[in-house]
Amino acid sequence: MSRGKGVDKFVVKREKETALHLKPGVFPLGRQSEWAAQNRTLTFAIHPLTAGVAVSVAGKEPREKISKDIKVYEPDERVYFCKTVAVPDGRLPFANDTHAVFVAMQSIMGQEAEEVGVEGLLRMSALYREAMLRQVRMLQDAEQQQQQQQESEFVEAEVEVFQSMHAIWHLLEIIYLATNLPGLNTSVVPYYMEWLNFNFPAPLAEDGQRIADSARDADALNGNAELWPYLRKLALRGHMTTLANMLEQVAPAQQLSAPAARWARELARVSREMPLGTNDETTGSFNARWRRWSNEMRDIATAISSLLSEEEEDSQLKSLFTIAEILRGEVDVISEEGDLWQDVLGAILLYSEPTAQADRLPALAQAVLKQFQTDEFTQLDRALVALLNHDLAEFLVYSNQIDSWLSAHTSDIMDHLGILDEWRSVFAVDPRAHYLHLLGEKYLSHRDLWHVGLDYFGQSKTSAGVSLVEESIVRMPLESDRRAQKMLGVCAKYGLTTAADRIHRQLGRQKWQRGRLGAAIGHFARVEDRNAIGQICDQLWAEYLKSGNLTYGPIIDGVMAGGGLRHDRLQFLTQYRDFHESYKAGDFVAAGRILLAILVDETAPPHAIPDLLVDAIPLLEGDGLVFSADDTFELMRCAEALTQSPLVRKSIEAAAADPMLPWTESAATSGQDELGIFNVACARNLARSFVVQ
Amino acid sequence: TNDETLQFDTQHEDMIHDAQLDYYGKRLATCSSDGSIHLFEINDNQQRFQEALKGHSGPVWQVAWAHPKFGSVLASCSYDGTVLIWKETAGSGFTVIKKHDKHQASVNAIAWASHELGPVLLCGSSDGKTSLLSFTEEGVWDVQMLRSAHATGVNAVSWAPVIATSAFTQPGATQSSGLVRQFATGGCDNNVKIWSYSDEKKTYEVVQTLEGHGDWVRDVAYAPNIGLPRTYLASCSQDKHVYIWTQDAPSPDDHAGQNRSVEWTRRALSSTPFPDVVWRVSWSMSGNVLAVSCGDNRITLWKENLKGEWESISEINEDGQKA
Repeated sequence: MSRGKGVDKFVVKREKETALHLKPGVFPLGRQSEWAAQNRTLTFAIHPLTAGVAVSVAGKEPREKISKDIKVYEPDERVYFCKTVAVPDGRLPFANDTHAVFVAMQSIMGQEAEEVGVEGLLRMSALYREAMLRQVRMLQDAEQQQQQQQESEFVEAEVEVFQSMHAIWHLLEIIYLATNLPGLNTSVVPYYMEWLNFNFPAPLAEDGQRIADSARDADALNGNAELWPYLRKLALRGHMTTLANMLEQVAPAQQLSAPAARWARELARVSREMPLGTNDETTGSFNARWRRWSNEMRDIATAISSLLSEEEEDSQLKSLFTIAEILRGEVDVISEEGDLWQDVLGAILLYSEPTAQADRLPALAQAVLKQFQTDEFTQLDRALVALLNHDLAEFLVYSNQIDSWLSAHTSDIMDHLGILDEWRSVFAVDPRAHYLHLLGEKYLSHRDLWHVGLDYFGQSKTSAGVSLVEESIVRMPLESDRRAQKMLGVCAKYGLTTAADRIHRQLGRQKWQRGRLGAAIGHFARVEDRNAIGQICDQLWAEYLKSGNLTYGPIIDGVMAGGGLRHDRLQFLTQYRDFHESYKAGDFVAAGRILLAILVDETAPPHAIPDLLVDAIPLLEGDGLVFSADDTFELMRCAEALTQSPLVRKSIEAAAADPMLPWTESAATSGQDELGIFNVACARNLARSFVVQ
Repeated sequence: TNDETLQFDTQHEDMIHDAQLDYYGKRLATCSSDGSIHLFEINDNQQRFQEALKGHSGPVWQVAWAHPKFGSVLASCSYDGTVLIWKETAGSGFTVIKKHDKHQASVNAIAWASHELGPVLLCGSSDGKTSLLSFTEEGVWDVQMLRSAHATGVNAVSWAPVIATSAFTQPGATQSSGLVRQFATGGCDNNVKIWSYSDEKKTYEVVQTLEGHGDWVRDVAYAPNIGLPRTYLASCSQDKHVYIWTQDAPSPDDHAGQNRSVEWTRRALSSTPFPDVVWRVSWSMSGNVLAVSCGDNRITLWKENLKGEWESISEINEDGQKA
């Protein structure tokens, strides 16, 4: 395996360890050695679905092998359930919204990737960013309402996470999408400045407002100690209009020296004239305008510089000089003024290379970073720098430390862009699948995000991912019909026929236990469990025999309405119901025809045959001729088979032993009598049929 | 931070030795030196004591839940040398349906095979033997004692994933003829042994010995197979090391993926030894995370990173309670 790029940077020092402490503790503070020497350690069981661990104190040796003087600690018999990852409820909207985008992206890119292209990905990327910003707003609203300090700190930390994610995602979008649109040959500078000012706003608007509010007039404005640092920051960040306005406001100040006043006005004028690129203008034309403007700025800086040699104590003039140097792109001054490396890079881009393309970023970033203590960089800094350097390995690792959502979705979008392919040989595992599974496991730990977690497994497009979906879904409780239907939908989506079968069987058993027999049959029919269907039908028949009321009609109708289900027992129950209705309506000929069909088709369970023959007696003895001679012979054949067939006898014996069926010894005796009556009725009907026919 | 959401007293009268969640994570079984097993129903932040099972005459070392397709079935093993199999029936709770008393010393470890192999329980004992308890089609339990593999005692047993890594995406992967019949044991001879079923001899035999630990092996655990191209086996020992043993997918001519010929590669979980004896290793259901319990009262969770190395991602520890 080739390990050319970024391998050494895999070893990443974590800024914060994830540690859970059992509370209250299991031994007195500072006495761990004594506790461990008392035959104790910790044991655990991992929850199959959630990221939970059940922890308890465990004895290393059995009681028989240890000293009887062993100490007893109160928490010895306690079990702690710990969650190693948790998804706060507040993240639910974000998780659901971005999940929808993610799934749509997989579907669209799977079928119409060429048509969608970079423009489509850019639109979907914007949806992700919108979701992040919504989350930040929601969190900030919540932060204002938090009264508990611990909750407030948590919300603050969440805000920071989402702001970091947005900053990273926004930059990724600029580098790989916005400036990569087909046919577009655009400078990265306006995008970068927009990114910088949105994600790392400076100077702050409230600072400017405070300064403005305190300024009754130009002198008051000039007297405000915050003013000139503020103006320098405006220059650094390219806020030209605001800079110009404030320079014009302070220029009339009496305390301002004449040269300072003059050059404040000049700088204000020139600031307003800073060239801005347009879509209609060629790069050459813009560069020409820029050079003229930059030269004029250089002349201003030179002029102010010459004055400074005489006016060394003029601090306002010094600030104006700094501003002029910034605006003309003087790197040393920019570096000194910039608090963040992002500031410095932005100002250099804006004032030295206003038409730079995205591929200039790595080299410029490297030059800027040499001036900063990278040892003190945060994870956000490192992730951003890795992104600028196109170091995907390092970028993904740091992104994951910020949040598993970020690493999962950035690796996904990079895969769709085709960027991940060239890095796959660097990794020991497929990074996209690795991070999607990680996020899936995290979401699985929240009871309302189980389906989201499963999708992150399944959409990794790996056999491992589909296997995770299957292993997870068969362990999930079937808490409601709605949830069960959703789970079956997941099975259908990923082709999990075995899991779907198991769910149907479970649902069948559940509904059977709850007396929802029609629904139970429906589920067993889906998995072709003829045995279970047969047993339920036997139960329906037994209930009819016990009560004497045929009430299973709607159940059968419901099942048969679904269509496609052929089962002897169901057919028997349907036919018997039809027989019952014909008999009740007085249509004895039809009733007789149906009864005979049941016997001839052999759809009835053997133990029901005696009852069917008994049902034939009133039809045989009735006023009208229902059964012809042939029909009667058929009935008699059935009766003979009943008495002769060991199978039928065994079925009747089994039914007799079945506590569900209302079978007693007296019923057996009565059955013998009824068989005799049946035989007599058959003989009489035969005689009658010969006469009639 | 304190992330536990539920804690409760198991009401055992002596030290706990094991705690196991069932297939769905809805029931917890704990076992103790008081000779009993306690069962609890777990639901989010609530628990309910269900039943106490008393049947052993000595400390109960481990409990193991069977796959739910066999019903509610639980196995337990004890210092008294017996293994009990309990089954839950409506109205009666859990009752013993089988007592296995063929071992001559403490039974230290038990593990149910994957459900595709049927209800088969593997047992490891201080008498140095392993045994297999199988429920046959005739409806009786068959006991097979296997030749000594760890002369001074067996401390841990674990079944290999039943579907071969190479066969994962192939049709018929779960057909009986293609299933992997293999398990690992860890013992007091400091070794891990791999056992495989021999169609010819109709029994399991040792096919590989994994050497590397310098003291008793306390636990072994195969990772669930979720479609990765290799098999993972974790082992931990009194020598304070945890090893991850990996074996690549077998060659095409290796029938049923028994993988007899492919060598195992050993890798230390951590570049430095653990601070104390390592007692237990266990994989998450996904096979991505390995949990390790060390005698320094920490449980650490480990995950393989993009570089293929193992890194600690989280820990649960006990710093003691203030007086």
